[in-house]
Order: sequence, then structure tokens, then C-alpha cells
Amino acid sequence: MCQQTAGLVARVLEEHGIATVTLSAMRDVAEAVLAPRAVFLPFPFGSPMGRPKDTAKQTAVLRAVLAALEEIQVPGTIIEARIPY
Amino acid sequence: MAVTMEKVEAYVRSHNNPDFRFERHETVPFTPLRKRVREARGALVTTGGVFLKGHPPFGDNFGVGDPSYREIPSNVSVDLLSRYHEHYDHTNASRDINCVFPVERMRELAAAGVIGFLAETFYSFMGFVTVTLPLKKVTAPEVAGKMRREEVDFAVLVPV
Repeated sequence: MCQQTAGLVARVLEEHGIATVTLSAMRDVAEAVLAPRAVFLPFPFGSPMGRPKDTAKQTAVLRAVLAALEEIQVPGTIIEARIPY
Repeated sequence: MAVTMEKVEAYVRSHNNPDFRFERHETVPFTPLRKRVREARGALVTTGGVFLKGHPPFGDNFGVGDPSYREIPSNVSVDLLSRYHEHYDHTNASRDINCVFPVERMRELAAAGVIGFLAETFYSFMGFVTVTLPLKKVTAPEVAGKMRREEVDFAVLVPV
């Protein structure tokens, strides 16, 4: 459900001229809601950025998300981040 | 066992809102990023139900959900943050809020020059929203307006 909510907020922000990138743990929801730019990373629900206190992993996830923001030129693209939990 | 859209949909329809259906969109709004991230102003949005202690918590409205949002200063001390969201496992977020709201990671990447600037205000939704119209028509556009006034270039959305 959170996955849809984030995608819907992203769509509204884009309508108002703000570029977005949405992390997603459920690829099918990201595809259905059609988030403008998405990074698919199937981490456990409740811990989308990685484990607690794992600063290096959380930073890697955020860097991948920011890279996708620059990389994605085609609306609705989902990039799969290959980062182990 | 994979959690699929169909399973979530069936659960929400039987427990919370019989009309619930995941949205299927055919078109997608898109704003090109006109600057490099290292020159741009970024904001963070979580759907993890995070809020500043002392502010009103989110509600669940007996399972229908809550489309409201909370503002959180981007320079907030993480000790001042709390959560309300009954629909995910809080174990990790309780130990480290950055698991769902990576505010400290955003600050570090801004300090390192990876992100140009941070918006003064970040945002939090409680992602369990089974009736989406108020979110789409009222609360998300309000957040968009506030971001525009802060000249935000991009937003990172982190659902739980």
C-alpha cells in the first residue's frame, strides 16, 4: 500500500514541476501506478533502505536512487538495483 | 512467499475497504531534472508514518487509512522523531529511523557534495491510504506547492 502511496505522491509532484525518484520493493505496484522514475530493490517491508545502523548500505541505496534520477530519461522507467540486503 | 499486488488487494478488500483496488495508470507525468544532482536542491519524502514528537500522530481511521502528511525539518535530530503506522514491522525503524527515512544519509551526501542542497523541509505520509482521492487532490498538491516555494528540484520517495 505504501508502495502505491509513494508512487501517487511522486506523480503529483511531477505534475507540479518537481522531478522524482521512487524506491520500490514491489515491482508490480510500481508498474501499475506508473511511478515517473523508480528503483526496484526488494528489501524487506519496513526496512527499504537496509538494515539498522548499516550506514554503508543505506548510503549505497541512496546513491543508486540518486543515480537513477539523473539516468532515467524515459518516463515510467524502473531500474533494478542489484544491492544485497 | 512473495507478496503480490493481488494478495495485498484481497487482504485490504476483506479487512479495510471493500472497494479498494490498486491503481493502474496508462500515462505518466514527467519533469526532466534540469540540473545535475550535485547542483540541485533535494527533498525527502517517506511513507513510513514518521512525525516530530509533539506533533499530531497519524491516525488509521479504523483501517481506512490517513492521507495527511507531516513536515519534518531536514536538520532534525533523529532523537526527536517518532512513528505511527500500524501496517508494517517497526523493528528496524525503531532501531534506526534511517531505515525508512534516510535523513542522516541525505545530510551526509549533501555535505559530501553529491547533492547540491537540501530543502529545509522534508515530508512524511502514513502510506496506508485506501481512499486515494484526498491524497491526490488535496494533500500531495499541498506538499508540491510547499516544495515549489522552497525551490525544490527533486524529491526522493521512500515507501516502506
